[in-house]
Amino acid sequence: MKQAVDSGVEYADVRAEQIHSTTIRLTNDRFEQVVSGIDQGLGVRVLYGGAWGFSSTTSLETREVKKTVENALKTARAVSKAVKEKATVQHVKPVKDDIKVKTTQPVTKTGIDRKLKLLLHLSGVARKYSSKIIGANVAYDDSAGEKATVTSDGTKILAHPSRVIAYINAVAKEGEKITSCRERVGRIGGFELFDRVNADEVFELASKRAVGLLRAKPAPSGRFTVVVDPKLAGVFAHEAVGHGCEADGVISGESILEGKLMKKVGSDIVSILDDSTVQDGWGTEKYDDEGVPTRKRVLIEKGVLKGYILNKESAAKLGMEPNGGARAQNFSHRPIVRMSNTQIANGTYSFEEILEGMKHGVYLKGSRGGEVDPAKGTFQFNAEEAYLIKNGELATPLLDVSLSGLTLETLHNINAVGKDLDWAEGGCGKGGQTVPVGTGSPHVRITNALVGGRA
Amino acid sequence: MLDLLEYTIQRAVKLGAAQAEAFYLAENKLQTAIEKRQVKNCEKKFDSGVGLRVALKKKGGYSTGFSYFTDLTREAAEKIIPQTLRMASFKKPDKDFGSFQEKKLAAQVKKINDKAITRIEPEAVIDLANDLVKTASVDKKITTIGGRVNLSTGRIALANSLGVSGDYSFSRYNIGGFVVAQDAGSVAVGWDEHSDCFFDENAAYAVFKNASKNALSQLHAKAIKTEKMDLLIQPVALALLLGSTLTSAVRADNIQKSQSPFAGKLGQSVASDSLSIVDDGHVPQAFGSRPFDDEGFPSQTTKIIDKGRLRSFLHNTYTSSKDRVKSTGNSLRSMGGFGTRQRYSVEPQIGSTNIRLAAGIKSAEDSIDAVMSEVKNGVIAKGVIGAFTANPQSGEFSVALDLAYKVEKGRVSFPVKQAMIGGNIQDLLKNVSLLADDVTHIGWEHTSIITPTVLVKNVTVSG
Repeated sequence: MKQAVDSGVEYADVRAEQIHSTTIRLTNDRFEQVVSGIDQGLGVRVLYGGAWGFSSTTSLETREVKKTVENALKTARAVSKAVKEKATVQHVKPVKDDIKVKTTQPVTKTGIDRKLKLLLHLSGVARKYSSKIIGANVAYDDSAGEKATVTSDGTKILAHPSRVIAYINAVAKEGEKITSCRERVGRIGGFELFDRVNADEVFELASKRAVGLLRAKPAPSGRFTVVVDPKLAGVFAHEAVGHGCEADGVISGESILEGKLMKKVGSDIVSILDDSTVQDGWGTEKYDDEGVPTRKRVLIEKGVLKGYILNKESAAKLGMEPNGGARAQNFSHRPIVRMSNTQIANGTYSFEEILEGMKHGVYLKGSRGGEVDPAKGTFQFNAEEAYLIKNGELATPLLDVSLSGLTLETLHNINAVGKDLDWAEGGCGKGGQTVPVGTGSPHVRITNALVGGRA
Repeated sequence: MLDLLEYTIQRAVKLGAAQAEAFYLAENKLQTAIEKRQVKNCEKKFDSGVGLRVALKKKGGYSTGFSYFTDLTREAAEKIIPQTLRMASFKKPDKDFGSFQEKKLAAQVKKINDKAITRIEPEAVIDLANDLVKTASVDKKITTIGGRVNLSTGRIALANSLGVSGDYSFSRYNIGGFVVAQDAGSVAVGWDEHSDCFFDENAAYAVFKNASKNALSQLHAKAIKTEKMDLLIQPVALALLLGSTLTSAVRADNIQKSQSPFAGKLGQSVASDSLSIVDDGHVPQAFGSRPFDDEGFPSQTTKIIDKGRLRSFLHNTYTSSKDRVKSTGNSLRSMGGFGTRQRYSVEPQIGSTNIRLAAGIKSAEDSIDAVMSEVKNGVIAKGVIGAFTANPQSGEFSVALDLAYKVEKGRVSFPVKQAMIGGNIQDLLKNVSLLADDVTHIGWEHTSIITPTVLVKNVTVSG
């Protein structure tokens, strides 16, 4: 930081990390990956002449660190020569903090043998459910270590992040038909996760759902009233709305929500939040990667667009306060505007009330992922499971159903929001970086939605 | 670097490993981002590390252990060796494990390392990027121009206790342009991309010109009705679809686990008679080309599908030993599926090198216009959205078409607003009826798909 500041930068942040991690991939009873390692390194970001420069290295030798700072300055100087619209940052009150994540069983002190044994057990649980389960693809990731964030504003934060996640992709087969379903358990903290949650139950559920899908039939295509479960609706809130509320995209003209602040963008019953402070949220953090204290951000309230997710630069540009929305995958990436835990807030309907009176529709459950074009506002999500809805009841199970649409149209077409908010852990990719995020929602009902199937 | 690797494996063997293998990967990246008509970011990154794998001999077979370190010193190696051996001691022996790779002569590959890329300074890239913005600013309707210019150089070294020892350098050039156009309430997005091991300024200009052209031609898109029609899938769209389905379907590990739609289908007809698909690790300037794979097996050309028949799967040393066949040189240290980054921190998996599509004798020379003239009612799409949501175990997918146009009576008639297709890789390969001659290299990280536009008959397109 001293080297950067002495070179006359307008702003700088430096992040250094040493993270121990364990990665395990198990298929049935064969370990395909058992990796333990230490990732250490340093990332330097500078604002010079209204332009950003960034450099990172995995070598912490003094010579290499100096070269990394020089490279950051070099890239910033080069950009500054031609920059038309100079970047500035909204400065914030400096923070000094030392944060520890509460854990009774640190992952770094938990032997690899215990981790391997647990996963073999969970794989067994999933396979025991049915002889139709031909594959239990089990994965486990933990990471813990130290992370220092220092900014030229005077902020100095030492954090000790720690997180654990285990997931399964259960594959069922009958004749030529292959189906699969995923489930996961993950928490910020240590190995005590497995005392707190019933992982056996979750892993068995994946098998149960995959076997259930073997009876499913190809889905119809066309426009339907659909009911979307908390997992998929949470992904919709994240992909279709959350990304559109990221202030960098708003500024660069790549969001359909640009210029819509305080305007109606959805039906009255829709409220959407991005909240870094959710208890046990997978995207929960006390400070962002610019050292700004995080908070709860109201994006849409009763159908009206109320706010964006901001970092220091976009806040300066829009004349707003940074709200802790800058995150980086790790030291080798610059912080960019990101979501934390995104949710559709609870409404008033029970699941039965949502289905009530629906003559013909589709119920979409779980998510195989999705993609969105924030500039056009189009999205595409694949559900893991689906059912035809006939006369208010779930009927035929359906295979390979996807949901596609225009975000704004869809937000207006939500005509029922449940009261059964549920969270899921996920990873969000943007600009080549993946960060852990939480997605949550109750059940929602959407009219006139485009469903893509194969029948 | 080979010195540190040799030292590490010798020490591991001394401390009890029956076999040891060390893999080094270093990458230097220069990444430049264009946002809102200007260069917004330029980043220079360095990443290097060593992955160590050991095999312990036990009753009933070998068990392996793996660790990595980024502090590239003998002291760091000394620390990681006992830990790796301990990990192997906890694992049960695997009777299917044969051996790490035995020494073989590396293959000759041409033009995978452009030395000029090493010398390109941030200033030069930024000048180019600013010129690219000008190139794309061809019309008042264009409201936003974005993109990326990514350059990287890297080096891989590998040594094992069976005498394998080698290294090579590689380079990557990756460019993408993204343009938004607006007119009378209509918003349209256009893009184009280019990937090559060699730097080529002209290709960059072409990308940004095309991105503008595509955005403007997407304005005032219209809805289409759901019906069966012909589908022209352009190279990027097909590469995304194949990358999310075919590349995992032909991995021998997935076959051995029965997690592939091609399990048990070797020798059977799985594609249209005129279609052949190979995995070719030698294509000049292609991202998947390399002298040897991530375990030291020389790169080769493997016929996966020959005139419609499934001929081979892709193997590394483990799966080939399990099936008692020869490896195909497809060991890749990359986790998380097709096109994800190669890392020193990942145990060897299986990945395709360059997947090449080749037509039979009949149609290889057809120009895109000639192929399009066969289409009475159809859609042509440059990209797809959501390909990675495909189910790799079953080969099924459901995706939205991107940069799609309606084709009527052999000609493009209007831009399409929203369209989806669903299906599976098996049907797609069987229904490919014609290949055009616009063969394009679509590269990701350390792999690529090289394909022309293909015509697929009778696809349900939902609007």
